[in-house]
Amino acid sequence: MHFLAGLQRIDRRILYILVAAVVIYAIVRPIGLPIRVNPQTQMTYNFIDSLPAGSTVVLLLDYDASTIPELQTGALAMGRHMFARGIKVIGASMWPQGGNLLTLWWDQLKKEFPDKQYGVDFINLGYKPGGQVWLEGTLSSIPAAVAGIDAFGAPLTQYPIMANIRTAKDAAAWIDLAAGNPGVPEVVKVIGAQGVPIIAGVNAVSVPENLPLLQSGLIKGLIMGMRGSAEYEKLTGVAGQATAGMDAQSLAHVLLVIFIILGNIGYLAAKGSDAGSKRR
Amino acid sequence: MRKEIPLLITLVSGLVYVIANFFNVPVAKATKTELDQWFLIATAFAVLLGVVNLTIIHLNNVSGQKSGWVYSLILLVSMWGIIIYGLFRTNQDPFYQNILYNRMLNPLSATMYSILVFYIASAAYRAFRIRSFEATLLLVTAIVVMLGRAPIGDLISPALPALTNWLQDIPNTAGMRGIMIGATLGGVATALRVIAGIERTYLSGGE
Amino acid sequence: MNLDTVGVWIAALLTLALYSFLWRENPLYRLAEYLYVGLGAGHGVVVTVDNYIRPTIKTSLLQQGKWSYLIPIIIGLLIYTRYIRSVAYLARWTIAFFLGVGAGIVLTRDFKPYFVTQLTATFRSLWVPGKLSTSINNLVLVIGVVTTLTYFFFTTKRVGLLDYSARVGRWVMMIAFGAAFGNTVMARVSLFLGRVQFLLGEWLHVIRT
Repeated sequence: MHFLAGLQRIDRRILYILVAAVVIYAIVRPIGLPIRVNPQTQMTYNFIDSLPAGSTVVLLLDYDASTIPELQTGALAMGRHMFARGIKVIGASMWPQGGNLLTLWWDQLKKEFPDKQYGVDFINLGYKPGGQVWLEGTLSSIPAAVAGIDAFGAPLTQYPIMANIRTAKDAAAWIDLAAGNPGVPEVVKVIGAQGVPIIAGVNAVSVPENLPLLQSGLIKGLIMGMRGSAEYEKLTGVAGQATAGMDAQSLAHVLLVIFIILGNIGYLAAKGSDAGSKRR
Repeated sequence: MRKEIPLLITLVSGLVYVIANFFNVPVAKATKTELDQWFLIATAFAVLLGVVNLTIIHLNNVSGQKSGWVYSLILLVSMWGIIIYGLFRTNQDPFYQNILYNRMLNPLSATMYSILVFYIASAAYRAFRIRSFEATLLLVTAIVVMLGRAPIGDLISPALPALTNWLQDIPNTAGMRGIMIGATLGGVATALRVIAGIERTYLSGGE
Repeated sequence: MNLDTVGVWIAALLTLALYSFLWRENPLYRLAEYLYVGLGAGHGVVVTVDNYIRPTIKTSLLQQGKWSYLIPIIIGLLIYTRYIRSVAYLARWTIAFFLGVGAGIVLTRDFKPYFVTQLTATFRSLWVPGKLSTSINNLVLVIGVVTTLTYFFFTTKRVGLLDYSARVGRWVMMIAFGAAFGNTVMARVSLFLGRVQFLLGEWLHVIRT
């Protein structure tokens, strides 16, 4: 057998160590590769920029802790943009960890925008079970759909932010950052069907299946994973965790491509060697 | 009646949504709004099902001292511990958010999924082979997208991110759209079968 | 040593315990794994009770007197009858209710955005005067959607034009799956990045967070 055939049998632990090594190296010693903004992220930024100051949006964080690097970074960047423009945010989630992630989101942004107040500029409605059916409930009454309380058990009636928001259609837009089901498709089917503009942010895995929604106009913008979050950070001028991870992302991808190519060289060498020995 | 009542429940609840959506019948719309609330409440009260299942299985392990019963005990203690603490704490108690969620559940959840990077690297290295035209097409597209979506793609060639965007916007959208349309037709057909009582697999077992 | 420092160490050690699986399965990994399952399952119950069950009982039932909500409460509780052999059949009522509502929602909500809108978005001009690239893109998109759909015609014999069309549809799907794989790799690397940023930043203070 050709010696190159061994390239397709490298011990997987060597690959693991190399993946870890390039990621750690790139994080400790950033290269500073420039990040170009894609049209999908630009559309998202432009849409939020076009919302009048004082309008209220609903922000859904439909993911769990594993997707923080991809979507929480984007949520923070969008939050900075919205608070800088005086847009108010009603936070909710269809995932069990969403309420806690909204708390983390608010805790971080409160440090950067100390003048923003809970109940006036932001409210956390927490996690609500039911997925798409919960969204149906918000069409007739958001307070009824959330049992009349916020994530901390306080009645909604005491919060000024909820004064003019009774139903889903009263919001200027719904922004859904989602890592699966329930997520963007459910928001599009229920809230989008009422003519409310939808902005989506998805983890990279879900990007291919959400691009048709953008192309058909069902969503007005799309944040595509960690790269999209890094692009939004660039547009808002505040480099965060997503930007910091882009160099490591690049190097890890190059490493994987190299290993795929090596594996195929080994495969072709073995195939050629087998064919040669059969001929003999 | 053991099969007829569930079929009737499915028929009525499904028909309420259909009539409320496609016809202008105020009583149907009001009933649908009420059913939305009923669904949310029923879902919430069924939430303990997973916990009950886990408790039964792992209590069995612990009481029978089966292999790995210590881990079952850890699971039971952590699960019921967080439930009891969570239900009796005050809303202002920072320990639940700051320690139990931020420093335990959050990192465990994140790390469990992050291990996948190693598996996907190993899978890509071992399985991605130029065995046929279609496999090559998949492989080349994957490589172009991987390099094009990362900032290094711009460094390698400006054509790479442009090609990536084209692949995602046109052929990928076309393929995904075709799959989406087919899946929706299948979903609608299945929904009709469920409401009409033709699809009855959920009734099998447990006489 | 304050509580936050203790918390960071707990998080770091749990992270490393899970990563130890990459070398080989070991007791530390299993401890972390079972802890994760227990905490995750328990957390779901806590947030559901806190955010929905408790306020529903307190506000809707006791304060507002919406006693009709007892019906869905009973429907939800019936699912637990599956553990009692003599009345296990009652659990089907809960499943039937969920399925009926779910099917109703699919029929009323899925069709327009995921069928009609997708079809109409595919009706694009195949020739746009003065814009060759747009014309080519539109043509590729339309051919791609049509050929992908023909791939799923399993009830007719694949001969002639249908055979060629289905083959092209397969190629289009291979491109879509290739793009999906590339994005999946990106997603998984991002997950790992986040953990490394935590370990190097918050725990070891090698980088600034």
